[in-house]
Amino acid sequence: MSAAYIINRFLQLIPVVFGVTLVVFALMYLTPGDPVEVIFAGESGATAEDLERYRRELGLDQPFHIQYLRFVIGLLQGDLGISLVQRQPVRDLLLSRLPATIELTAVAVLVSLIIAIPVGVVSAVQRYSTLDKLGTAGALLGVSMPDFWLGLVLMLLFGIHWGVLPISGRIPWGMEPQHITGLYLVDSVLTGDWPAFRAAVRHLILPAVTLGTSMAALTMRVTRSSMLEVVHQDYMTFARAKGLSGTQVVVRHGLRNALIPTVTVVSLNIGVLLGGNMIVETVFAWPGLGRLVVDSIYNRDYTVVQAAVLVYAVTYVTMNFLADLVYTLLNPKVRL
Amino acid sequence: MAAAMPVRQQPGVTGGRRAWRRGLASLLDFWRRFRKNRLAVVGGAVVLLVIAMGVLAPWIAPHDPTQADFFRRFRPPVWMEGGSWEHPLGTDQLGRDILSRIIWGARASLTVGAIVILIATTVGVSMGLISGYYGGRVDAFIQRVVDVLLSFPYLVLAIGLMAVMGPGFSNMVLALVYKEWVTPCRVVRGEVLAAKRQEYVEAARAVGAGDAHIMWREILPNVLSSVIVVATLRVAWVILMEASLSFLGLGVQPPTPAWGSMVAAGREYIFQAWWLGTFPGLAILVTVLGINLLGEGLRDALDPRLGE
Repeated sequence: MSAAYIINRFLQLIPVVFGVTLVVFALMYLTPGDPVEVIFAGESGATAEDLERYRRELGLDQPFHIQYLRFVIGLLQGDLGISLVQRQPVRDLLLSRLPATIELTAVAVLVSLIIAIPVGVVSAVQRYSTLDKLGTAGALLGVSMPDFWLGLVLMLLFGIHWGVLPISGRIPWGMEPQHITGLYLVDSVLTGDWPAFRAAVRHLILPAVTLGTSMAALTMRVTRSSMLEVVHQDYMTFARAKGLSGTQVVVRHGLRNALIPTVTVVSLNIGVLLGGNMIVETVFAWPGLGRLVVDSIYNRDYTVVQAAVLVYAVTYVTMNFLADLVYTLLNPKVRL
Repeated sequence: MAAAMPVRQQPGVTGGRRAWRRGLASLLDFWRRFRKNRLAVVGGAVVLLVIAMGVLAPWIAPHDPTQADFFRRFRPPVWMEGGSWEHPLGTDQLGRDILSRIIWGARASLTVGAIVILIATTVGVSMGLISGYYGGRVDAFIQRVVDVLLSFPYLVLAIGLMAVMGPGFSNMVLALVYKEWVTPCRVVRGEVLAAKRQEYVEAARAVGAGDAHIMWREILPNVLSSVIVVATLRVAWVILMEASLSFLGLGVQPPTPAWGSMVAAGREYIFQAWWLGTFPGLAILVTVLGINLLGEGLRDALDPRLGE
């Protein structure tokens, strides 16, 4: 992969990110109602002059393009504004919630891969077998299932009926491991806090399975179809002719090539996960970014919603960019 | 979505009657292929059933879906102790009949699905035709807008818009259309780029046909099958998104019954009554599954090469 390709692909990101900031800013700008009134809601002492002065201080009396410019300059300096309700920097609020979301999303991706890749490979290798039919039906069920409902059913079964797993939160109160990265699994391993590790894992299982299921369904379908394309290639026949065992042929020669589209699909569907985690975090009262957004909508804390939407979009764009690079790296024939 | 469809007409080659006859023959051909896919037929039947349920709701729902009865709160389904045939799937936290609410809830889901897809497909097809046909700056501009919209995860953009516009039915339709038109636009643009080089377009141009005629009368009929398949499959996605927004309290507002908000109530009263959220969620699953099966069947029947 040439440096020119990477630079070119990176330059293509600039207008897109510019457009994203414009949309996100316009979202806030077009919001009906006055943010200053939200800030002073419930404070009887504030006069009309106070409100006007505060509006001037925030620059809300300026025209659209000036406000947008200030917004972008703020972003470049890492300033995402002040929460209207909690009155603290939005950046700090988001950063405090980010580890919970990263941990949940990473484990969900892991869960989806553990389910999808073996099922996809077996479905392709044993095409039209009962296993294949079961796998394909499962994938169709997975993409058709609303994640909030799957979460509810898992809660009912594992949390309430059998009572084997916790149904809300990240860890029991007071059991949090010493803060290093904010990722409880990592922190508890680093500090050797095994009770916290066990508790964190138990709390992660249901939300991660819920979030990972639709992703697993998509990934399984792609793995199956790309594996089907690979199975009949000459190099597979040659590998078999060399006397390699079936598993060796599938894993060493088939899977390696079939995984190229899978990697792309996984990266591109991070967007599905990012949207999904708003829902799953709400279902399982998981204290992450998604839950923060939903709570902020209810509280009319628009600066938080705006910043979070921006973070989601930029993450998504970056993931797509990385997906392109990885795809090109794995498959030099392609120059997108 | 792939390129050329086998069920294609070559405009301007034959007379009206022969074209009709050929159209009918290809429709029969399509039906023969579709019929062979039993799962797709089952999917189609499920979809028809749900549509009938939504349309006939006032006549088939056993109770008024918004009528609260505090003496009958949390009644369990008929097969459980304390359940009765009066409320076969039980009652909710306000004593409303769950079966009736599910039947009426079909209306919300189907209406949102149909309206969003109708508007998004009209906008997307027009944009795709213009973008692919004219190319150049027009194409570059439309594609940059598409790129920006694609940078937002679907639900994140919809939630952001709902936060700004406030909850409610028409706002939800708008919030979903904002991104939904991108899919038909990209599909049609791709098809138009391929079609532009086909002989029938060049022939039409040679006999003096204008741009609008070529786009709408020559190219559009040839890309219509892809549009139908994509629109069908996207209805399923839009219904899931509508349910998600209603689950978060941003979509259809109470007391209007919607499957998503019913599941949200199920989450709230999870310790008292498992049936509150389980059945409405099952309704979403069955509907979306039916549409997906139907959409995949349509795809295979309209273009068998897309099968694998």
